[in-house]
Amino acid sequence: MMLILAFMLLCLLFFLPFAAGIRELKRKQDDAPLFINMDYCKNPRYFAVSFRNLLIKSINGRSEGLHALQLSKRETVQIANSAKHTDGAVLENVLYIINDLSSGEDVVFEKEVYVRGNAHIGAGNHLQALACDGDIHLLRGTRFFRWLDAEGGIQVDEECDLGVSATCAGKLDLAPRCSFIRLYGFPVSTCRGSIAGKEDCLAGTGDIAVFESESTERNISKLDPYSIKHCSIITNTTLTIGDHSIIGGHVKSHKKLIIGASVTILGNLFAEGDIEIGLQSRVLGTVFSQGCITLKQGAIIGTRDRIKSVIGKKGIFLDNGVRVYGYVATEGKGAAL
Amino acid sequence: MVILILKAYLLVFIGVMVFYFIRHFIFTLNRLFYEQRMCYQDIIDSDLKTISILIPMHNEEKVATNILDLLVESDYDKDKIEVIPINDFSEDRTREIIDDYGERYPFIKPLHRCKGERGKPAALNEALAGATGEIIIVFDADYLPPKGILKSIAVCFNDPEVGAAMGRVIPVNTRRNILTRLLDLERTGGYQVDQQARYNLKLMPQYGGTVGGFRRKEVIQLGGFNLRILAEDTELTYRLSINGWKVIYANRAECYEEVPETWSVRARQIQRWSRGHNEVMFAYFFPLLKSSHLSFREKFDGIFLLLVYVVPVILLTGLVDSLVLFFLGEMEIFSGIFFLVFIGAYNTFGNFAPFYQVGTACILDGAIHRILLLPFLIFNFLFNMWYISKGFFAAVIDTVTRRKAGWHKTERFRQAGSKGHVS
Repeated sequence: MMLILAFMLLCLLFFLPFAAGIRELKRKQDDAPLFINMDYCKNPRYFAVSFRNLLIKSINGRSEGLHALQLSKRETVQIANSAKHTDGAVLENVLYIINDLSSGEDVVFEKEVYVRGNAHIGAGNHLQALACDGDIHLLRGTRFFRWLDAEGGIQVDEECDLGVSATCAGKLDLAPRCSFIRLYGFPVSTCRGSIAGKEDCLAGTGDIAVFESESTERNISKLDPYSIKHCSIITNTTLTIGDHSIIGGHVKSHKKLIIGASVTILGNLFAEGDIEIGLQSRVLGTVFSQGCITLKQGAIIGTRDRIKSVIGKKGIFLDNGVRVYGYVATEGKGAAL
Repeated sequence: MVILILKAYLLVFIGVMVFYFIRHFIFTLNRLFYEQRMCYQDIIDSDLKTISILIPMHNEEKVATNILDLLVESDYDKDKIEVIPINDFSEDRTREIIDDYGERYPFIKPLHRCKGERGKPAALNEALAGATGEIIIVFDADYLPPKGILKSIAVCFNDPEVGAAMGRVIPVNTRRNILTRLLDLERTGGYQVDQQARYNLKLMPQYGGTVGGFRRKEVIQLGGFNLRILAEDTELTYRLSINGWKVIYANRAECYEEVPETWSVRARQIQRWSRGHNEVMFAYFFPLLKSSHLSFREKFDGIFLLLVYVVPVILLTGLVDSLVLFFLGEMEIFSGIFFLVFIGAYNTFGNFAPFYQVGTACILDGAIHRILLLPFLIFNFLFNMWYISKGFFAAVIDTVTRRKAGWHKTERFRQAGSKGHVS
């Protein structure tokens, strides 16, 4: 009897680890393939495109007034011809403004806003998300929790927080002490004061492409001022490139990359550590770092009519007078200095 | 003397298990708690390189239209791509299907092979010779590439040091039976944790021969694919690495594949992988150690990766060894704490180390309930151990006798005419 009991216990103990699995095999709670979005294409303006499509489809020619519509969930949408909101107002509904929007100080928009004209957002406003078919002007201290997008340009005054994403088809102009995660514009610019009037010397030459050299030099740690290299550089150490140098290829460092003033790089920059791009320097390609990226005064990335990226995992800091043609993104802190 | 050798081997066996346990555990902890390196998919660049997409096909009439339809819908600039479906001695309707696509789309350029050597490496070499793209991207015919995946892979080559980039493979036919569900778990652990952790730690991620790309000119300069080696993907990983190129892993470049639905097909597949991988192990063990382009940690990981298909053989022989010692009454080689170390190494750390990875990967993927199937992996594990061991001995014979292995394609299970992916 004991033997039979012991055998049954043994069988039970053997079976026990599989019991939950057998239940899952029968119930099939989690047997679907892991999800892949087969239609996914990278689009920096995805939030706004998706929101616009959803809202326009839901509104479907409705007139001014309040409407309960199905967006991603049931929402009350206020349709208005134009809107001027006074200081301190709190707006609880999704807004669809057929013409222009302007707001006073400290207005709180608790839901998304879609403006078919231009948007003039007063100082200290709080917004969730703003899509605009014209231009956007944000006054000092405005804060976004999610995103903003304009078909025209975006002008941002000091101390604004641009949420997760600020994108536009035109120029995205940032004043000092603004913070961001992702930016997209042509160009993204921090040109203020006397610099604002200065044209990018290559602005009209959008056909200048990234130059990829056939040859590579390895493990250089320093390039003297006025160096000229007709090759790509790959190095395991920190690389310092002297002022006024010209690199006719890509640069990759497994540590830091420090680029002096007035340097021209015809390719892409990659670094495992921080990247610092000096005064008035120019990079025609993409800049990517697993650390922080600092663009000093007058630095320019990319050329007009081409899209390039500046991606710094831990942070991106833009000094005055910087221009980036295309995309800027970080997982850390982004700031205009 | 024999007893002494058996005991010594048991210690070696325990040592190997402990090393691999530590490796798997580091990878798992890295994915759970440490900083993740960013890959390049966030880069937006209007000047992406020209690409040639090679799709080796031998009797692929069941799946050929699916992959070609999806590539036609890709968001990559059509002026910068050419798709080369390679009809490799097909005896079914593959030729007609790809010719039809070639007539309809100018960027699809079918290549028909009916003489010369058969098999994927030979087919890739012939296509490489005629391809014009700066980057070569390879898909097996049963794969289902999403719209944006070509950009996700091609953008990796903006980094001047990247020689090859590998995306993530996700089984599409998980619902079929317990085997497909277990293979799904294996893939999840292998990519979501193992490959990504190796990328995070700057070790040596592996180019897997499909859902991945490499630089055309550079690979041709290095001699193209070695026709004597079945695992042309692993061979390319090592050849690029010891010549100063990096192989990187792009976790967000995800693509569906069809995994084997019968144990016999799986047995042939895993045996072929083992045979090919071990051929690479014999060919590249010393060149890897001697390479001046690799860091110590890359070499260390590279050795672990090279030996990954030897470990099941060590396990199998270690099990036999322990049984022999047990029945000879010699099993008590240690007493006290050392015996516990042996038990710990063998039962917990050795056998089950990869299971930590799989469980963690499921959590990262948000697929919680499938973790309940983890104990069933023991059956897969024993199955793999046997067929990997067979593959290992075949590779030994290949290497010693200079025998050349024939190529066997994995059978497809998709119904002809089905869309193939989850809609």
